[in-house]
Amino acid sequence: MAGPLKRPTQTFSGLYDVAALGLLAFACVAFVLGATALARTDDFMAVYWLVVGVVTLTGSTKIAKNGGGRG
Amino acid sequence: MTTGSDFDDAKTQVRAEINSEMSEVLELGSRVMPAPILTRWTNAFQLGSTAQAAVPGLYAWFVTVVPCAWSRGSHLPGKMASLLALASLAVAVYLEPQRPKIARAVSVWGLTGGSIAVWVLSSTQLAPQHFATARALSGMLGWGLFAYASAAPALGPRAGGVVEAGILKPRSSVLRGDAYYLAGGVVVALLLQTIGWRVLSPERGLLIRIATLAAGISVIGASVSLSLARRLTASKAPRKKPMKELLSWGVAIAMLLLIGVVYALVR
Repeated sequence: MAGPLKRPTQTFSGLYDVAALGLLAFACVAFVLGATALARTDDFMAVYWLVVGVVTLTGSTKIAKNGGGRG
Repeated sequence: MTTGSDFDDAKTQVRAEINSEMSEVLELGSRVMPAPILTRWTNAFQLGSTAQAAVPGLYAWFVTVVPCAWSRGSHLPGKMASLLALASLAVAVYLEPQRPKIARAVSVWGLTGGSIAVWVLSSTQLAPQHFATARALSGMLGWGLFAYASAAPALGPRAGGVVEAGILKPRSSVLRGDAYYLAGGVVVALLLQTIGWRVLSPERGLLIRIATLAAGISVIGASVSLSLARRLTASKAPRKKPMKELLSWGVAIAMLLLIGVVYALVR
């Protein structure tokens, strides 16, 4: 017997949650790399990784708010 | 007490439950705390803005004025000016209940005027521009807080006393795993604080601390946002196309990574 019909957003909400978590983890790695580069006085790479971290973190929260949850 | 069988449908039952909860809250909200508890806290609640500003003012005075006035080689007029600056804070707190406007003027102008006199009278080696970075930053923080507390006074005591509102019931339940999100964010923020402690240059060290602090706060904020986003079940706002948003963010991040790879290859 078939279960209740799911809406498309409900079907993919797990995917969006996983993507948001993955981006959050990547942002954390980028921040660590940026801070390490800052300590090495490699300013260009520090700014690069910090920008990557900020963009990834923003993307993570946007995706989670827009596509996450239970539909 | 009503049971589910007393109502024709589920909506009526839910409405009845909500009404009974609201009446409980109203009953609790009308209760006022007994007088003996309030009287114990009267003095604390009646502290005015000048008294509150005196705390950061005392801190700023201690960090930025005392070293100039009381170090070896300082002059007597500087010491007197520093004591006058301190006394102006105490006089302002004493005057505040009767004459709040005069008290504020004494506090602001007394402390700043006395401090300026100390700095002008102090020798060149003790002048504020020769402070260590940490002391200078602490002093800036203290003066900033003093200015803020003097300019934006706290609200006065609430008329009618403190009202006990009772126990408020949460509007939604806490989902399982929220604590893990928050704990993960805190762990990453703490991990970021372990980086950069062996840097010799103080300016570089300070920059690393500021950057890691901002990054840690951002990570904790994002963890909380992700945790809250899981419960967006009844959102009325129309959503954008999530798959399109996911792809656009993926492309943007991939482009950033590509720039990094190209830079690493060229360098």
